[in-house]
Amino acid sequence: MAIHTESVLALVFLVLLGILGSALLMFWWAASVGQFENIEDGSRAVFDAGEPEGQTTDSFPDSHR
Amino acid sequence: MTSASLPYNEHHQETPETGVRLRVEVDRAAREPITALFVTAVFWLLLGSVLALVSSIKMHMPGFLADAAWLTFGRVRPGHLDTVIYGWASASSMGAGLWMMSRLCRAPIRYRRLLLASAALWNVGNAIGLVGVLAGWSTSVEWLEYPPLAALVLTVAFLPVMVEAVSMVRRRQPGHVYVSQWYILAGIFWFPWLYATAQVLIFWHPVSGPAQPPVNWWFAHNVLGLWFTPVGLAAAYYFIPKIIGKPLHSYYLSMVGFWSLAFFYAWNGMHHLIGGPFPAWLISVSVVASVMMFVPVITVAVNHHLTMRGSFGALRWSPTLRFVVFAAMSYTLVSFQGSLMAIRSLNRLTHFTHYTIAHAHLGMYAFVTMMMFGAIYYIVPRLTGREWPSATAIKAHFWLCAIGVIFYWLELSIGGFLQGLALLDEKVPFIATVKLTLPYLELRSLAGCMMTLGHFIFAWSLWRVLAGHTAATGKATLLAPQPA
Amino acid sequence: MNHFRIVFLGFLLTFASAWVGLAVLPSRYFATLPFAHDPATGAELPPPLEPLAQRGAQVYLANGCIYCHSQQVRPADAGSDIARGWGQRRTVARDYLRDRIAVMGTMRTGPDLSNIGVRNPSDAWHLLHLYNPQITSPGSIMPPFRFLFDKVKAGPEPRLDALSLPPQESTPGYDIIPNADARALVAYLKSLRRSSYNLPEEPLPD
Repeated sequence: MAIHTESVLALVFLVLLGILGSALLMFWWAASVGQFENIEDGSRAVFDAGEPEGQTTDSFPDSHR
Repeated sequence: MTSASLPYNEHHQETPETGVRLRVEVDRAAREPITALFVTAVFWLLLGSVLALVSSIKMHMPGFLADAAWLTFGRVRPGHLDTVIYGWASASSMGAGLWMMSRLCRAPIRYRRLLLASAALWNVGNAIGLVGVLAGWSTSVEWLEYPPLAALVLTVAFLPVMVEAVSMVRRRQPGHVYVSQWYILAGIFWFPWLYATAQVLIFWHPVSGPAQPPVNWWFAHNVLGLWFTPVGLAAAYYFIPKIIGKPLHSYYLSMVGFWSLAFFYAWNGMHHLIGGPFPAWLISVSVVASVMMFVPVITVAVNHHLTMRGSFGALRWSPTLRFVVFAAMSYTLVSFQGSLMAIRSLNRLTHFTHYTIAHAHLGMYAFVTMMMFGAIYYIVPRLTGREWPSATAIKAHFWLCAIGVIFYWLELSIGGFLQGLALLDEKVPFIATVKLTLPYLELRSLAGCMMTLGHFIFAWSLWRVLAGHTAATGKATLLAPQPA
Repeated sequence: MNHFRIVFLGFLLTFASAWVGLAVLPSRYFATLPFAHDPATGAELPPPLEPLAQRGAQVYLANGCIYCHSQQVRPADAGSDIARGWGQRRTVARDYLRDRIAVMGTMRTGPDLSNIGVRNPSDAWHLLHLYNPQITSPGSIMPPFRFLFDKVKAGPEPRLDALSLPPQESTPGYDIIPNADARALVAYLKSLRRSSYNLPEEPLPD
C-alpha cells in the first residue's frame, strides 16, 4: 500500500512539473513571437466606429443625456 | 482621434457605417437567446430570494412553516442555494458572457435555436432539481444538492453555450483579442469540466467517503473562482471602459491578472476544510494559494481604479456603472477577506460560523449578482431597442440591494465572529453560542427583505421592457452617440 | 495574446494541474486506505452500519441535517471540539470509510454529531428532541420534525412506542408515535461514535 501511494505521488509530481514546464515554454514562445509588443492596443477592442473612444454609452431613461 | 488607433482598421477598410451595422447585427442576433437566458435568470432569482427569506426566518423562528416535510429548513436552504447558483447566477452569466463575446468577436450569434433550447432546458433542469430537493431527494452535498438527473439536464443544456462560444472565436474579426474574451472563454470551459468531474467522482463513480470533501470543495470554490469570477471580471473589464469612453488603463496588467487568477485560484478549494481529517500538505497548498490570490486581486483592483480615475462622476448618470463599480469593489473586498480567512489562526475562529455565510454573500451577491444586474441593465435595451421604464425603479433597486447586502455582510460578520469566539471557549455552553446569534439572524432577515424587494422591482422593470410598454431607444442607444 | 489556441491550452493546463492535485490525487490517495481492525476481536473499524441505521443515514441526507450540524472533531490546537466533549480524539480519514456520502458539514448552528451516539445513547431523548427540540433543549433554533411522527388515537392499552410528552405538547386521547423514518434516523444517530475507538494513526488519549 505504501509503495502504491508513493508511485502515484511520484507520477503526480512529474505531471505537475510537466505542466509548469509547459507554462514556462509558453511564456517564452509568447515573448519570442512578439505577443508583448503593442499590447496596449488590445484595450481599444471595446470601441468601434459608432461608439468610439472618448464617447460615453449609457444613461438613465427619461434623461436628456 | 486617428484611424491608426482603432483596431478594426486592420481588416477590409471598415467604414464607420459598417462598424455600426455590425454591432446592430450582433445585438439583433442576440435578442431572443440572450433575452431568454435573462428571463430564466430573473425568474429563478425571484424564486431563490423567496426560498432565502423563508430559510432566514426559520433560523430565528424555527416553528415557521415547520409542519410540512417539503418546507423543512434542511430542504428549503439547499433549495435556495442551488436555485440562485444555477438558476439565477449561471443563467445570467451565460447570457452576459455570450453577449460580450459576440460584441468583442464582432460575430453575431449563429446557433439561435440551440441557445433557446438551452434556456428552456436550463429551466427544466432547475425545476427538476428544486422539486427533487424539496421532495426529499437532496444529495446533501453542498452546491451539488440537485438530484443527479437534474445535473444531467443542466450539463446537456450547457453544451450549446460552449458550441456558440467556440464558433464566435473562430469567426472573430482579426485584430486584438480583449481580456474579457479570455475570461469568458475560460469560464465556459472550466465550468462544465468542474461540474462533470464532481458529478462523476461523487455520484456516478463515487470515490470513498473521506475523498469526497476535497472533491466537493474543489468544485464549489472553483465554481466561484473559475466560472462566476471570470464572467464577473469580464463584465467589469468591458462595461467600465465602454461606459466612460476611456480604454482600460493597462492591458498588460489585465493579462497578469488573468494568468495569476488561472494559476492560483484553482488550488484554493481546500481552505474550506482546514482542521479536518485531511493530509496536511493538501490543506497547506490551498492556504498558500489562497494568500497568493492577493496578486491577481490587487492587479485587477489597481487597473480598474486607474481606469475609473477622473470618471467617478459617471456613477451619477449611468445605471450600469454604479452596479458594476459596486460589484468590482466588492470583489476586491471579498477576496482580501477570503485570503485572510484561509490563515489557520483566523480560520479556527470563523470556521463553522455565520461569518462564513456572510463572506459567501459578499462574493455571490455583492460581487456576482450586482455585476449581473449592471450587465442586464446595459444589455437589454440594446437587444430590444427599448428603454427601461423608470429611472426611479433602477435607483430603488440599486439602493435596496446595495445597502441590503452591505448591511447583511456587516451585521452577520459581527454575529459570526462573536459566535466563533464563544465556540472557541469550551466554558460557554453550546446553547449560549446559539442564543447570542439570534439578533444577527433577525437582522439578516430584514436585510433579505430589502434585497428581495429590490429584486421584484427589477423584475417589474424587465417585464415592462419585454412587454413593449416602454419608450423605444432608437436614437439613444443604438445609432447615435451620447454627448461626452 | 491573439493566438487563441495557445492561450486556450494555457488555461486548460493551469486548470488541469489543480484538477490533478486537488480532485484526482486525493481520490486515489483515499481509495487505497484499508480498514483498521479491532485488536481484540479482529472486527473491522469503523463497524458497518445496521440496515436501519443505513436507512437513517438517508433520512439525515434527505432532510439536510448537515446545514446545521458538522461531523468532524478538530484537533485540540484547531478548536475547542475535544474540550467540549465532542470526541476523545480528532477524527481522521479512516473514521469516514463507511460513508457513502461524506457528511462532515461546514456549519455549527447545532453541535457536532460525530460522537452523538456516545453522548446521547437514549432513544427516548432523540425522539423527543426530533419531535420538538424545545422539549429537551429550550431555546434551541432547531426546527421541529413533527412530520417524522404520526398522531394516532390512543387505545385501551398504553402503546410502548408512544412518546412521553410534557402536558403542553400532548393531546388527550391521542398518542404520538415515531414513523419508520424517525426510528431509522435515531438508529443512525445512535451509531455515530466516530472517534470512540483506537486507531494506530490516532490512538485515544490515556
